[in-house]
Formats: sequence, C-alpha cells, structure tokens
Amino acid sequence: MSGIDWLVFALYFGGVVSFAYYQSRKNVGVEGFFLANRRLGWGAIGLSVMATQASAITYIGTTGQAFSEGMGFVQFYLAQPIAMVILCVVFVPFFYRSRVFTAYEYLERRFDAKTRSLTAFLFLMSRGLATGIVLYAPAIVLSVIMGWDETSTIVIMGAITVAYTIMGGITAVIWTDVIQMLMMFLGIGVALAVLFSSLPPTVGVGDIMYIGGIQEMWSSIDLSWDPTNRYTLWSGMIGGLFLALAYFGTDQSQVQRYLTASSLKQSRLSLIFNAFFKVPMQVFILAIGVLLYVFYHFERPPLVFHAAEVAQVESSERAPEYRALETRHGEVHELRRTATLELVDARATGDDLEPLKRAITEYDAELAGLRQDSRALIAEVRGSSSNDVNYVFPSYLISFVPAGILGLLIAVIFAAAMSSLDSELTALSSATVIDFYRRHFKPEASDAHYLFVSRMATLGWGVFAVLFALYAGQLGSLIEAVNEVGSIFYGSLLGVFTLAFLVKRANGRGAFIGLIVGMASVLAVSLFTDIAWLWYNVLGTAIVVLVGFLLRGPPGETQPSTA
Amino acid sequence: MTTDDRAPGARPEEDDESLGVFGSWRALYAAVLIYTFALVALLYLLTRALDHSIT
Repeated sequence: MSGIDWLVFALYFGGVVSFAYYQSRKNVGVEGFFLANRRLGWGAIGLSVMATQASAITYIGTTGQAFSEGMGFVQFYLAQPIAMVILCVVFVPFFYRSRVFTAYEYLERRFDAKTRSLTAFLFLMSRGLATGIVLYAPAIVLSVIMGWDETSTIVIMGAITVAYTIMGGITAVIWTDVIQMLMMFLGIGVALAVLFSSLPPTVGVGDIMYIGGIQEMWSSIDLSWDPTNRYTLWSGMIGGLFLALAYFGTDQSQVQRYLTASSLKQSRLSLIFNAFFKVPMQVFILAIGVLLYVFYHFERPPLVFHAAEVAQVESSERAPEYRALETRHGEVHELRRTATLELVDARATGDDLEPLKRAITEYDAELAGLRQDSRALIAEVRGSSSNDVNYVFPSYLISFVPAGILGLLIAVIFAAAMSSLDSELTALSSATVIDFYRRHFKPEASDAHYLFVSRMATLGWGVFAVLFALYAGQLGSLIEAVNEVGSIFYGSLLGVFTLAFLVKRANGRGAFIGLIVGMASVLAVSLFTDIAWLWYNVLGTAIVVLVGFLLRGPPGETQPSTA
Repeated sequence: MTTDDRAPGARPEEDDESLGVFGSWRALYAAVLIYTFALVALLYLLTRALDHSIT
C-alpha cells in the first residue's frame, strides 16, 4: 500500500475509535451499555441491522463466490423482505413490549428457566464460533496485502475492536455501524466504477453483460426443485425465509438492535428499511464478482489466487509441475482473451457469434480444469485441501486498484468486519450477563457491578473469538461456513419462539423437548444426507413446533403469554 | 388474530399510526410484499435475457 492508502486507512480507524470513545460517555448503567437506554431512531438502527449482517465475509466470500458461480447466491436473500414483515407483525411487538434485555429472557416469562438457558447457551455457542470466523476474514486481506502473518493480524484486529466495544457499549456500536455502513455503500459504488473503468475502452456495458452471459454468470433465478442444489428460488424463498426469521427474530445480535428503539414504530421501521435495501445491496456486491469474472477475460488472472499457497508449492519439489500448469494457463488465457476481443468486434459488426462463443466456452472449461488440477497439486503438497475463493477480490485489489482507492476499499472491508464483530460481542456479552450471570449467579447486585461484568464479558468473548479465528483457516468458503454453523441451531430456535408466539397452550416441557429433538434431527440430516443446508432451518422449525404442539397443555390450562 | 390479542398492554393506536405516503402499517407491509415479488420477477427476466450460453 502507498502512503495515501495508509492515510485513508488511518483516517478511518482513527475516526471510528475516536467516535466510539466519544459515545462511551453516554453509557449510564447496564441498560445504557446493552440497550442505549431504549432511545434510538429507526434510521440508525436500520443501518446497524444491515451492517451487522454484512460482514467482511459478505465482501470477500460473496464476491469470490460470484466470480466462481455467478449471481445465484442472491436467491438466499430474496425472502428477507417477507421475513421482515412477519417479524414486524409477530415477533417485534412481543419483544418490545415485554421490555426484555435479550430474546431468551422472554422465553423464561413464556415457558421456563431451562428453555431460556438452553436457547441462550445455543446462541452463545453458535454465535461465538461465527464471531471467530467474522474476525478471520479481514485478517486474510491483511495477510495478502501487508505480508503479515494471519495470527498477528487476527490478534491486532480483535484487540482494537474489543477495546472500542468495551468503551462504547451498544450506543457506540450502533453509531459506528452507521458510519461503517455508509462507507460500505460508498465502497460498493467505487469498486464497480473502478472495475468498469479497468476494462478495455472498446468493451461496453452490453459486451460485459454478453460475456458474463456465455457462462450464465448473471443467472439469478434457478427454478429447479432439486433439494441437494444449494441455491434455487425455492430453497431461497422457503429455506431462506426460515433462516432470515431465525436470524433476525431469535439471534440476540439482531434482536438487541431493535430493542434499542425509542418506540415500537421505530423498531418496526428499522426492519422495513432492511426489507427495501438489503436485496439490491446484495445484487451489487455479487455483480462485483461477476464483473471480476469478465475483467479477467482481458487481464491474466493468477492460476491460484492464494499467494501463500502458491509460494508453498513453488518452494516444493513439485514446483516444475505447477509451472507447467501455469504456462498452459497463460496460453489458454491468451487464446480466450483474443476470442473475447473478437466477440466484442463481432457484436459491433453483426457477425456470427456462435463460433466465438463455442471457443470461449471451451477455453473457459480448460482454464477451470487447470485451476482444479493446480488446487489438487497444492492440496497434495500441503497435505490439506486448497480453496482460494476468498482470495479472489483481495488479489484483484492489490494488483489493479489505484492508490488511495485501495486504502478506501481496504477500510471498507475493515468497516464490514468491525461492524459485525462489535455487534456480536455486545450480543454475546448481554446473553452471558443477563441470561446466565444475573439470572443464575448474582441476581441482586448494583448496576455498576453489572456494567463492570458486562465489560469483562465483552473482553472474554473477544479473547474467545480471537482464539477460534486462529483455527478458522481450516474451513472452506467462509460465507457458507458461517451460515452452516448457524443452521444447525437456528431452525430449532425459531421453532421455540414460534411455539411461544403462536401456540397458546404450548408449555416449557414441550418447548424444551422439541428443541432437543429438533437439533438432533438437523444434526443427523446434516451428517447423513446431501440435503442443502438452507433446508435445515425449515426442518428444525417444523420438528420443534410439531413436538411442542403434541406436548401442549390440556384445554383450559393457562400459559403465561408475555411479560 | 390482531397484535393486541397476542400482546396485552399494547397501545391500541400503534397499528393505525400514520406512516407518511404508505398511510398505514398494512399498506406498508403490502408494499414490501409487492416489491419482493417484483424483484423476483425482474431477476428472472434478467436471468432469461442475459443467458447467452451456447445453444
């Protein structure tokens, strides 16, 4: 990075930490630390909800995924607006009016203490792991760009984020999220503009669309019903709906956001804001990946995007094999580049495009085969699998983006990471303190004591996230890893809340047993079948509701409804 | 079932609050649903229109 990149980067970091420090003065007591004294408006909360969901993984993993597989991942988000409406109608009023600190606290009022404790524990476990992965993602970028080792990067990133979260509490987290989300919008626009301007001057928008279309990279909607197919319209609209309901309706990292609202109306509007803007944002992020795919028709891409893995194989005795693959990769790329330029000309002159499309498709297939062979070679040298999907966008940034803009885009990836990490740390801390420490260990203590313990819990979770992040490198595509971890529990958690809200005679026994059976079933399905993970949420919810319904109390038995 | 049936203590006016151009919560929710289906339809049309794979 150049001096101007460092300046942009330092301005961002300094600004966010200073702002968090300023906001920390507004924390008075534990309700201020966790819920901003319930006085925020929908705009800030809405941007914070969006920023919490959009982590650095969204930028790095999603763009890499679109580069490899096209726009199909957008189907995962299509049901989110519908989920927001359901949440506004069913979930938010219960949470908001019961004046709880955490979603799980509500379950004790509705069912019993063991259901609350188990759901809170599941949240802590799944979100704790996910937080480690969220921290790992930007560390990849730094390790590629600055040559730092991933361990040091993870420790430094974690320490800074934990420090300002401990200082500022939820108020600082939400307002820094606002800044970070606005930076993310700017970053998406800048990345798209830079990519467009990097293409040869003869290549127009129509050509870009056409070249991407040869490999169906713009294909967003898949109507097939195959349940083993990861992303289809149906898995998105049904599985994605359940996942969105579970994430926004039962995950404390999101529930905590809309509990900070000054009124029920403000809570609801913050979710409606996301209903309108989340999908378009995701379309633009995925489009960056497809544009990268088109861009690399004209510029030679690396055979493997993970520079450290390449260095490893090049220093091994298998280096000649790798170099042979690389030489052939260069030759085929040159052939594809020439064919693509001829295609652009043919489109302008109205010549027959089919022969050129056929040639490009064949070169594409050979390039994909060479990438596969090289990854297999690297895997043999390393003794573990190779996956460079998450390195595609960072690799482009360091090779092609001009000074100043590089610093901005790196800062955007950091903004995305920090805005998720800080939210998750406050959520983990709130569930730890409110659902366990205050509930089971020290119910009667001063507000100052709980505030101190809350800060210590934030620190503890930060340390855990750092330790877990150090092992996250062994996982595959990060975006899926995070969602898969959550999907083992999310559906069952949603089932418990559905029982609480909609089945009047549901009781604690049915909810607790249903939760155990639901999770065991999802785990079995994930281990022994090929069913795509988006369907786990539907299955988990259905089983918990079914068991809870069968074990419901007799007619006339009164169950507590809300606070 | 209304929101108030499910949640005792709710302020009855909340569901009828004015929401600017949308008028009411029901209209706003309907707008979100229409928007969602319009997005899906648009993406489907783009999927078909931008499919230039070899025939």
